[in-house]
Amino acid sequence: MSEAPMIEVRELNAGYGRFHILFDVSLEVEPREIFIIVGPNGSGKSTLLKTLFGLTKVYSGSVKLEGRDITRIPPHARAKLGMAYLPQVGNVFAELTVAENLKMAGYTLEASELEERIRDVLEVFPFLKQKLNAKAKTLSGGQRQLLAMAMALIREPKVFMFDEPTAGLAPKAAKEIIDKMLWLRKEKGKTIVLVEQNAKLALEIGDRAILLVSGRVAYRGKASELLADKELGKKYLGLKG
Amino acid sequence: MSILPSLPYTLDALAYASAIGLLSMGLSLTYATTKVPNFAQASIAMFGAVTLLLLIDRYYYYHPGWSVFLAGVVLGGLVTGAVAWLVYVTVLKPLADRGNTVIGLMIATFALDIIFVNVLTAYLDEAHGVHIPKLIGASITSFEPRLHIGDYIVYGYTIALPITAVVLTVIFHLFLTRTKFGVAMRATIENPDLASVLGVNVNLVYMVSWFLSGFLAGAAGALMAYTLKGVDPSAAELIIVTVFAGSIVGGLESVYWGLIGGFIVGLAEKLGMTLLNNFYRDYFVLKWHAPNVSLLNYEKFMSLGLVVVMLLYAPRGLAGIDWGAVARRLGLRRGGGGR
Ligand SMILES: Nc1ncnc2c1ncn2[C@@H]1O[C@H](COP(=O)(O)OP(=O)(O)OP(=O)(O)O)[C@@H](O)[C@H]1O
Ligand SMILES: [Mg+2]
Repeated sequence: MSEAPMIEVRELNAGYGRFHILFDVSLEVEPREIFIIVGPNGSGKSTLLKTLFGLTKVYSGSVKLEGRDITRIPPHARAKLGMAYLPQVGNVFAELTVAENLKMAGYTLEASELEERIRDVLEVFPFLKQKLNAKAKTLSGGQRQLLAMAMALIREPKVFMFDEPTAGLAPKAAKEIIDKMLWLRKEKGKTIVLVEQNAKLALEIGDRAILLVSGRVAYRGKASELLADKELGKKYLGLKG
Repeated sequence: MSILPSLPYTLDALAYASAIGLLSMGLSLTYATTKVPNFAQASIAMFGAVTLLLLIDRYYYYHPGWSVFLAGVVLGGLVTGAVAWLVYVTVLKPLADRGNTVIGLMIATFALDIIFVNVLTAYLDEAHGVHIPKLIGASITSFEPRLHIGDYIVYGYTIALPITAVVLTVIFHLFLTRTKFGVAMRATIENPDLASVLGVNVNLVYMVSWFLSGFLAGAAGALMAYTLKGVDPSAAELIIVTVFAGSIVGGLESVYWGLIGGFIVGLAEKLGMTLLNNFYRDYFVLKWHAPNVSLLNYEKFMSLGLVVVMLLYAPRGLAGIDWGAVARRLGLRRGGGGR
């Protein structure tokens, strides 16, 4: 038998209080794949990632991590199970220093391990070394995004969920982030769920994808096939024919 | 007659202001974490006062000494911290989980306030010969260590309260900046969702914040019993006004500014009003034969007046003021004047 999917979502209905946003969403993310979620603005991409992390209200359906039902467990417990999430907005603590942000990112780690991981991550993002005692709010937008990325990396989780990690970045920095993801999958064997505004870029590096439209799955399959689908691409993703 | 208040009165005012500062700091803490405006903060503090009363009756009645202040702060703080923790766990959290808004939670704290004042009052009334057999009523006057400095008697609590405020603030600051859990508390205040996805048990942070807020309230409440000359739980209904004024002046969500706001408001009520009263007495009553009324009965005019001024000119409180800009502006003005 093949191993259980890393993430398995069945008939999920979720939203914020009485605002029902996601309708009957099902998907499977295999271990070591890059799974892409695309869709127009407001289609529920961020809500789906939040739901995977337990930050919304689930009305029905289930979320499983490696075969284990996690639908009702709190976010901090999901973090301990090896999930990491880089939110689209508010992904660093502006009032804390860079060092404190990194410490928070490794909250579940032992002190000695945390120190080692912080050292590693500072090698990957050397500019942070000079900023350790600066409050995160003093960083530029791009620097903040890289800090958020560093924070997601620190815990070395099994599965990363990135919500538009390249938004607002210069093309060079965006490419760095994308390369980082490819490296995570190839060298570290990590699983990645990626929400991207730049659908073309994402679908090019992704294995499989879903297209969300108004909170429903409008396409599910190979990323390359979605990229090749002229009609869907033009209608929902602003891709030129 | 001098307009300036006497030394013992000034010290008493500083002690009162320190206590209000601690209460406002606690109030701001639980507001920052759980977004509950806690109208029971002062009546919760009365648990600290009652703890002190029992301590004196059971032990210090026979062994008077300065350690009564330390014992009052620690035991009063612990008991009251436990009460506040219970309030959150058994009442406010379940209500919040059922989708109650800030209004519902606030009303719940009103109800708790009434319950606590009445339960504690009943307990103390019952006390004639039952719970506090030795002390007469709930009066603790004359059970306070004191110093004689020159012609003045300096009451111990007027020294103990400011010291307590400074020590607890320093400890609290070290907790918030030097411990992992303290940093997690600041992180949670700023962004609970992000804190939780990084592995912080946000609910535990909330529970601890209520315990700490209760500890600050109980420590202040125990020593404040001295400034009130006795333990009267219904005094909470007046104190809470000042405590809220302090938090609002501070900006409601910042613990440090809450402390400072409470201190300023407490000082304004006691010293500010006394200055105003003495001024009125010396100039208006003596020179102009204005009606001889004591303005001291109108202390709350000072605290609420400060709130009004704050809401008009700095609605986000002292915390919302850009102090760097203020300093620059003052510097510029000075430079401009010289030109
Ligand atoms: N906290 C909230 N409470 C209520 N409704 C919300 C909340 N957050 C988002 N929504 C609504 O949920 C819907 C989906 O929003 P979501 O942020 O998931 O979309 P998205 O696909 O990520 O959009 P974008 O591409 O702009 O990031 C939108 O209609 C939005 O207005
Ligand atoms: Mg989004």
